[in-house]
Amino acid sequence: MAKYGMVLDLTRCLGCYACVVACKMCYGTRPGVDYNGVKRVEWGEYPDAHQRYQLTMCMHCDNAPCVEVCPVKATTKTEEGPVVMDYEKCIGCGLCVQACPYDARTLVTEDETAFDGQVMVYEEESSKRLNLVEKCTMCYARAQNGQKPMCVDHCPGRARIHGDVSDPESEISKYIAEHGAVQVEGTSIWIVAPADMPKEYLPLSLADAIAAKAAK
Amino acid sequence: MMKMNRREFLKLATATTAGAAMICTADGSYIFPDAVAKADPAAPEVVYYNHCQGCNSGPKCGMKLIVKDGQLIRIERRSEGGHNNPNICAKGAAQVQDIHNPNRLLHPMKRTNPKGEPAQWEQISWEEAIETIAAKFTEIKEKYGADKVMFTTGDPKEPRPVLQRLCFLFGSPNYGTESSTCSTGTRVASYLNYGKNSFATGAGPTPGKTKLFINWGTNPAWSSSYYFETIQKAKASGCKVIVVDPRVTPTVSCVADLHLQIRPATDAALALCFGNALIQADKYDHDFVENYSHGFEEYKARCAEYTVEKTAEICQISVETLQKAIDMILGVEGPMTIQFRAAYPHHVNGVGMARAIQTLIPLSGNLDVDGGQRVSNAKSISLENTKYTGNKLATKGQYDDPTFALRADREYFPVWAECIDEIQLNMLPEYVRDGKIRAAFMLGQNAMMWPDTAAFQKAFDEMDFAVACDYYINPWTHDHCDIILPSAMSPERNYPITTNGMKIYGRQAIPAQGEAHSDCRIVADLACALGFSEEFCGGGEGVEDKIIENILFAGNKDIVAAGVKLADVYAAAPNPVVVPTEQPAENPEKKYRTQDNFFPTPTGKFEFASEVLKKFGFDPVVDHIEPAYSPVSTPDVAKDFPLILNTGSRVPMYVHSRHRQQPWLRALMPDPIVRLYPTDAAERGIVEGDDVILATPFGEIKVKAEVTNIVKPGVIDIFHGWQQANVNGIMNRVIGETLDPLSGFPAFKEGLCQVRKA
Ligand code: SF4
Ligand code: SF4
Ligand code: SF4
Repeated sequence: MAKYGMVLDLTRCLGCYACVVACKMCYGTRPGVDYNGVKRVEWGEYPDAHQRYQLTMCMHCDNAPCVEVCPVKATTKTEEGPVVMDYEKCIGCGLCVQACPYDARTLVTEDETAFDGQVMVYEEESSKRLNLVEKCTMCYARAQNGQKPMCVDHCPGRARIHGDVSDPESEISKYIAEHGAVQVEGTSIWIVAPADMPKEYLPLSLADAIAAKAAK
Repeated sequence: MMKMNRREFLKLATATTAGAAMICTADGSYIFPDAVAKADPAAPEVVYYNHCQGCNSGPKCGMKLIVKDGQLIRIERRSEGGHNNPNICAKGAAQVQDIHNPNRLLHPMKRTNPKGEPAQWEQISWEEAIETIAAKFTEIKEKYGADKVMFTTGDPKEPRPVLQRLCFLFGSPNYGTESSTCSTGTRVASYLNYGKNSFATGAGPTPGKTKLFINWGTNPAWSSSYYFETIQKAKASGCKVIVVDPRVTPTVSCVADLHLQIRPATDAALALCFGNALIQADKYDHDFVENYSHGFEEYKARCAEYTVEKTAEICQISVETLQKAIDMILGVEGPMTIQFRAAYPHHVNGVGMARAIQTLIPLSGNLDVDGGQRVSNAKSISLENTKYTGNKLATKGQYDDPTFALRADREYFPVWAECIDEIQLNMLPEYVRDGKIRAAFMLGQNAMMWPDTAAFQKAFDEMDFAVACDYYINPWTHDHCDIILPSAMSPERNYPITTNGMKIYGRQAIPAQGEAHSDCRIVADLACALGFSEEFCGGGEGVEDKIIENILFAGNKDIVAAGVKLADVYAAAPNPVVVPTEQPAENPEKKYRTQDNFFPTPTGKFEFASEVLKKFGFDPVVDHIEPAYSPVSTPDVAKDFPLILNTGSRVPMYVHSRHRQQPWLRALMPDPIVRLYPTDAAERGIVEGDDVILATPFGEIKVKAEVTNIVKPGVIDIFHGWQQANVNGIMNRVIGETLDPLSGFPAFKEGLCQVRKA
């Protein structure tokens, strides 16, 4: 059984948003419903100013708080690792959105499409989803099809590596070893961070993220 | 015309039949119902293989188009047989929303009210459009001469050869492109230095060979992400990287070992300082200098003026940082190369800056060496850039040709006119005023691209006739045109074919929306109506294939010898057809030592001191020239406008004025923004997201503030191409003051401005 994980190599991220648009294109997501994100972070002052990008997406937690709270089992943890959604079952209660410490879920409340009042071909499916929760699935269906996640396939910086972390010979396992990628504890995500990037800009471990959310 | 809001219209449109005419909405915009056709959900998914042209440098990244019932539903990475990077950037992926976009122009239109007013459009047939244009152009040709009609392209690079063919066949020397504002100024520099255009922008690193790479004033992370991996690979193989840039770009963050955060417009000083270091340390190529160059002593004397201390002050870089860069250059063991691009012509001393940077490559002994700027002699098929027959003006020696004498730009920019086979468009309002241009045929041209935009709009109004081909109705330009024509987008056209080395890839086009035609076909149909049917393969549907086969293939000896037909190329998809040829043995390095006339300059040598510039009365040796407006040269102007205005660079989601119509991209940067350094913002009481006024001595625009440390204190950065905030519209246009007298390029990266809360 494969165990899927993803490396986000922040030393290679170009801040180009190809991952964001690739995901929107693949799933035809509505305006404002984004499964992943790219956020500029800065530190230091001229002439020693620094700027990098944070990459956000579902962390595909091991003991996923979202899965625990879902009253109808619409969101589940697959054996291979990705946390997925069953839109047929989702009742849109939004408990998982509250529970997610990484803000990775969106409750769709607006019947909006890209072009006002019009459903384009690529929106046929997504436009049916209203009053339910959407999220990144680590492109589970694509992975089962032997394809990489869309955001990985399109990344011009080659900052995203996906694969079977249980296989030491896989591309991702080798990448983790070679580049000293650090697993975000309790999740399926590994990070390669620029040496000088302040820790506060890196994703917290699942336990710390839960604590931080509770403190808010 | 019936007016309704979009929601009402769309309800109606779905109830009426497809193929309906465009509808004018209450806000005056147009909607084209045929762009929102439905796909049969039961239809199978079909794969088309193509190359992306999203960032518009000719066909680049391989892409796989997933099509259902004639509708593009998805774009996937093309692992099969494509060339270049298969990892498609945001603009590439968002083409799905470009093809199927309700606002897309899908039918030929003629205006029903006078030019200059917000246009009212009436749909016409292609026949009527082509006949009207041909009749007008013929009338102007007969009355005033063929040279009075200009043929230009803005963004599209693909149809340039066919357009140039038409222009010269028609008898006009006035063929122009947006490149006369983009990067062709670097070719002028190359022409002056080397006697030919081919060394224009230096060269990128060769992984495994290059030991030092200077990435000078470009941000490939955003402008050419397909190429970024080459730099990453070079770096992984031990190449050190210096980035020269006023901004902390992702290129700086990801690959720079040293960043020179330079004051804009001072790069010539930096390059001369590097030249001085190489000469003083005796690390320059003596054989090259002594045997293959001209004017070295004058250059050497000029360099000597640029000591480390003086240069550090001019460029606003610390002496220590500048010394580190010099140490890296002097200490490198192995080849060094430099790449720079369109940023450099965008200065009044633009050609000078580009020349100064270019010069470092041969001076340091890196001209035509592996890992430096190598001159390959491998045969390759360059179809998209092939210039057609009928183009005697596009060769050297054109200056004395009688038709060439009618080039509208010649008296304004003699150096440009000597070097470049297209007209400089930045004085178009003057050409029109002087009666040199009376009509225009334009592919994808946007008036916003020029400084002092209003003068260009007025010029179009004053022309007898102006035609524009485009993807969308663009009021900045089309309110000043008589006829507009719908162009097919890149995935909808198979011309030109994609080539790489001796490989030819068929571009499989998806069906064009509405009545859109490829630019190639539009040009061919017009050419046929003007009497050049034979030269354009009869025009009509499928003319693109005929032009590829009958003109491009037929004109290539290797393709003819191998008997390769276009049908073979299409049949091979997704794989390319490799045209067999005998490749010559690899050149020895430094071919200029053995090849006659390697430097076709007036002296037959690399010219540190340009004889062409001397002939036209300019300083033959490069120098740092302070901008006409800067805190140093005009402290009085800088009192009211203390910030340096830097514009014209790329962002990841847009290319110039393109892509604002695609919601996936628009969401990433919804509003025009000006980037301000935190202390500059704080002094003005500005915080992130504030509405602010960006003012120059020539006008004001309203934008939003982004407070960021990626810009240098005292320098702002603003992206161009916004309908609602056209930064080029608040620049003026005076030769020698805001236009480079050598190239005619606008100084987009050195003006003065002020920002205040709105
Ligand atoms: S596509 Fe890759 S390089 Fe671009 S923003 Fe996303 S992670 Fe970064
Ligand atoms: S990041 Fe959020 S949505 Fe994803 S698995 Fe963890 S809790 Fe669930
Ligand atoms: S893994 Fe798939 S669903 Fe998740 S962000 Fe990437 S493209 Fe979107």
